Amino acid sequence: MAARPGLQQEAAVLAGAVRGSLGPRGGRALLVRPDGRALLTRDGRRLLEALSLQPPTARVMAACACRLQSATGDGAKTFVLLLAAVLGAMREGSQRRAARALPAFERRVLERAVARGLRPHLRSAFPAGGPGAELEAAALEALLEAYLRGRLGPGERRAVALLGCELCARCEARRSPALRLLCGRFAQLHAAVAGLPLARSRVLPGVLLRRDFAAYCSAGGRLRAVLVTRCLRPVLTAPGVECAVRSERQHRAALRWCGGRTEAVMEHLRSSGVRLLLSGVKQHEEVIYYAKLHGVSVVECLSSEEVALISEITGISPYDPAGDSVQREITEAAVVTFCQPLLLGSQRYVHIGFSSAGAFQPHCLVLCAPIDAVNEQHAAALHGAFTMLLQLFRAVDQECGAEGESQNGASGVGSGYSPATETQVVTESIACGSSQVSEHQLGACRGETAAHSSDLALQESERPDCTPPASAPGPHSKELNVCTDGADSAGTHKLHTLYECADGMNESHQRHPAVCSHRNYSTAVAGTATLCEHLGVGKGPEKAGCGVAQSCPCSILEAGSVLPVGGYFEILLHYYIQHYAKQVQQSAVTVISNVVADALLSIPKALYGTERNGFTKFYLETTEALRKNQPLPVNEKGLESVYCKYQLVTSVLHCVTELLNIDLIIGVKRPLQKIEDNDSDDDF
Amino acid sequence: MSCLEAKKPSLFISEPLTTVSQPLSLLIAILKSCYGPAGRLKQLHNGVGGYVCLTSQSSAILGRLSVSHPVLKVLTASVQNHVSRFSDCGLFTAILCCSLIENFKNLNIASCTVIKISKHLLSLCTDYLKSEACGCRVSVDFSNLETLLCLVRSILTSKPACMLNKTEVDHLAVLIVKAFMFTVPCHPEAKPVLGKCVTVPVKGRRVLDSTVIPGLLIETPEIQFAKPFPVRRTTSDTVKVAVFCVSMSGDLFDPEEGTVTVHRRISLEMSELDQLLNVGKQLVNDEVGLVVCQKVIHPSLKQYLKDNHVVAVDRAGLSVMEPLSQVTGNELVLYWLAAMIYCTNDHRLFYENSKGVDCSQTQYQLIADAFCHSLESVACSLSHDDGEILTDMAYGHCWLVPSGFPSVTNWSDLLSKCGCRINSSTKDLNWRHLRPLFGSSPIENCPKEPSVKVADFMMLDCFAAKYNGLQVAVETANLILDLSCVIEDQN
Repeated sequence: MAARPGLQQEAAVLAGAVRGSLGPRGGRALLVRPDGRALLTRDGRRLLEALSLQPPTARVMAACACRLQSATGDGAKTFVLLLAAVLGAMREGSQRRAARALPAFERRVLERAVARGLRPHLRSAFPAGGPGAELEAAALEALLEAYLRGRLGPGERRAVALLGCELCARCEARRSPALRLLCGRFAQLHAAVAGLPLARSRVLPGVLLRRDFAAYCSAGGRLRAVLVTRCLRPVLTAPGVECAVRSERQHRAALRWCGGRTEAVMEHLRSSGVRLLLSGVKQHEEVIYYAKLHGVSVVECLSSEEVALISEITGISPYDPAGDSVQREITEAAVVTFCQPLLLGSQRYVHIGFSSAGAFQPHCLVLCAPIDAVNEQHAAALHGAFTMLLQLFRAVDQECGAEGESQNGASGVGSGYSPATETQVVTESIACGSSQVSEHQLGACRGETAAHSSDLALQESERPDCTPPASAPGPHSKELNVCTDGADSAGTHKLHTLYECADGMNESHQRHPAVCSHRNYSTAVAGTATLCEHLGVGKGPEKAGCGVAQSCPCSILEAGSVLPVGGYFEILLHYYIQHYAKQVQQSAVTVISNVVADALLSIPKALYGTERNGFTKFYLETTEALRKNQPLPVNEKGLESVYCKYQLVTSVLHCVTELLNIDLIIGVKRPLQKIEDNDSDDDF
Repeated sequence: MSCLEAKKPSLFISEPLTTVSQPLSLLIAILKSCYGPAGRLKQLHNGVGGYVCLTSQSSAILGRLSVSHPVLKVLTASVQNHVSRFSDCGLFTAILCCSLIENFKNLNIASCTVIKISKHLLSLCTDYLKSEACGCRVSVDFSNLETLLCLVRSILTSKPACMLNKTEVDHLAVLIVKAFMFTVPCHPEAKPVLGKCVTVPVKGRRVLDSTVIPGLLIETPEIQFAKPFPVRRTTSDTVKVAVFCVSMSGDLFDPEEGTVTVHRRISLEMSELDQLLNVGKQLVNDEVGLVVCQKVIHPSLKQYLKDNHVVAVDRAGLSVMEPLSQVTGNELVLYWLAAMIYCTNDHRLFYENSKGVDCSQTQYQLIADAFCHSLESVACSLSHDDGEILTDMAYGHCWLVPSGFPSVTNWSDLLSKCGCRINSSTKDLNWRHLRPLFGSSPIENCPKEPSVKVADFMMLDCFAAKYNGLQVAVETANLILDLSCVIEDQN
């Protein structure tokens, strides 16, 4: 069955829409929201979201691009360009065949090209190396500046990159755990002021809370602060509890006791040296009164994110005076070096200098720009840049040895190691809660291990919404996985027959289930496993321990690998894909190798834009050097993360596989259940 | 279940700057004609009734004008943000930004190059303005209020919609400076904090009746001023004040708490009110004359206090509570004091070719010309009566020729003072025409510093506001030039 003819055109149109804002010469887009507010951006994800695409397959493309960007902080525009080039280069009629050869290509050509071909050219951003690797200052600047070239206008890049470097350096966030905190809490660690030029932006020590003091008693020098998440004044009754009042005197005595208790708590806090109370809830006015009386400053109604940030930085947990002894020693107190109100623009802030308990030295960024939209753009770009930097600490590992070389997938899969990996993968996806990915995996797992259905049933009962709804038209290929491979699954049986009538390919699947589908899905598992893992790391500070990727002796890409920016990665990969494709006998793999290799060149072509002969000259010089085994002619200071680039290429290939495997688009009337996911971009 | 309605696809407009020319030139025309002391007024009305607004202020015009082109929305938002920070130099920023866009757009040079070079030119300007060599800066002498008065007077005269005559301007200027001086703390501190000043408009009185009252203003809509004001005084000139930040309403329970069952014949409200009245008695015994409560005071307590000649003000709000608590001296609010002032009518013309910017000499020259002409066109829009506008070749100051004189006369006979009235000697000066169009040759050297001595009626501008306005204008223009497409959500 021929692929739908629209795919190529759709991808080409999408590529046309994002090409204008690609690379250092690209311009920015002005997005006008339905309420009339303006948003300035060069962020590929925002652009694609703003287009409100209608064609279903175009929405899949955009969703895949956005998913990549939220995982690696980068690459949505390049994703679309590369996707369009790959789809465009596939010959009409041979697309299905090509799609089937993609997994083999990935394993036998692409991985070798990266692991063996690219390796000698790679530089490391970690001069010291090791698991506690620290990002080199010069590399940090080169990476940030190169990244921001794709995200900001020519007038702002340098200034914002320097601000980002300063923030990283002063937060001590050149190592993984602190950088993860900075990235995860960036929303709380920056403030924006409109109406001032960018040059007025500053990095300030301490933390800015978007609140005003409920009580402020100025105090110099170091002081102690406690964090509370409950009202300090005891209440007579709690919801669901009934309190009987028998006389007026009794009631008055009860209130007096509450007040007395509040004062006792405050007195105790003050006598323990606590001069600042940070509250996640609104405090009773008696608390504020006694705080003022005893010279304790109060900041109340902090958001849960702010409370979490404070406890992450200082390592303290909320103080709770409940229980019999008010006079218990206060152990959960943070040391604060200063605490004062700050007026930024017209917004009041509480500016607090925490002394850190961990590696992260709290500093915050005050961004200034003529309008809010620009501040938002700068903040989003910096957040993306930090996400990208975080990816540097990851490595790409070979899929546990034997699998890569195993020709008959069936025996490889059956030989014991796979159930273990799968269970591990699935549990992890549950832990990190990224169901977008885990859905993917579940589909894949089911294909592979029909035998381990009891395990899977357990997983499913834990996360019922992981099972793709039978009518989901969004990520089509996932359904297809479920339907074709899980033939014995009763829930999807009906739809399965529907597919069978329409799909010729289905039969081919049934005929060679062992080879075809197995190989296909095992790679899918591996690809998503890495994706899922770093999603989890990006989100949850509780997973801090497993930050640095396990170093495997047979890693494809080592952590910290960088290359000069500006098309070197693409040309190198183009060269080495062609080189390793010659060693493969299968003609389908050779064909797809050439397709991908040529498609890769479309990225540097787009970067050079209309500049006459710019690309041709660059291409010839670089390939000439490669052929002669000379060092690459680099006149470029900027660097880019090879990990992100590699993820980009593999996710484009997966997206192509998905798209080409769609054979039927089913419109449904019911709204589709949106699966809980903070970073979900499938809401198109 | 959420409603399933297909989202309309967005409208994609590439090259948005091609359609901006016409609305942009209309906006420039509106803004330029408002600029300066001789600016023309604009009447804004909506055609279906309601208020009519007569103004030449940028904040009033930009706030009310409905701009439809998305690019211009960015521009107006940017100027309004600047005005909300500095409340000055809005028109300067807007006109400069518009002219920059217009001039740069006509160059046909890649926007990337234009942005880089204009950023470089801006840094030259800001460096110069901050440097010692800058001839257009006048520092404020706080021991002599003349410069401050000049500054306030210049700002007042640049608001023609106020229709103030010279006496009124002088009167108001003195009041404003006086009010400002009241906000400066008496005791020198490490981090001095300025106080606050509230403007209360009173209709139906003369401008010359305006006055500055020291002290704190508390709004009390309930108190009738017809009657004599019955305040208890401890001595002839002091009144005891009690300030409450907790509620005095006698409310018993938080809505979030659980149930309270009260036995029959018990009234907790009454017991609460008894408590409040006890507080009231205590206040009366302590000879308190004024009670201010941030929240609500129970009506019975209020009445009790009133009967005992104690003025009670409730729902005072933070704006009153804060200054009240400041009386005891603890709050800290930062204000930025503009300490540097410089001449309004300067225009900064100086060329300095730089290496390191990646473009050809011709391109650099073209962009620098466009930049300078944009600045010149701001200066030119000071003149509205077809009068000639000149600049001297030594100091780079602006000289306005009254209309009606032939343009080939000897300039030094006609001109007596420059626009900002710092230069009054016309000896050994050469002039040339300032034209917003291309073609006039720029001054070759940096302007000389005139021997500044504070004259009576200098026209001055706030340096901080102008400095910020210049930067914001260039940054906004760059931002707009960088736009490659507009995506409009059609939902």
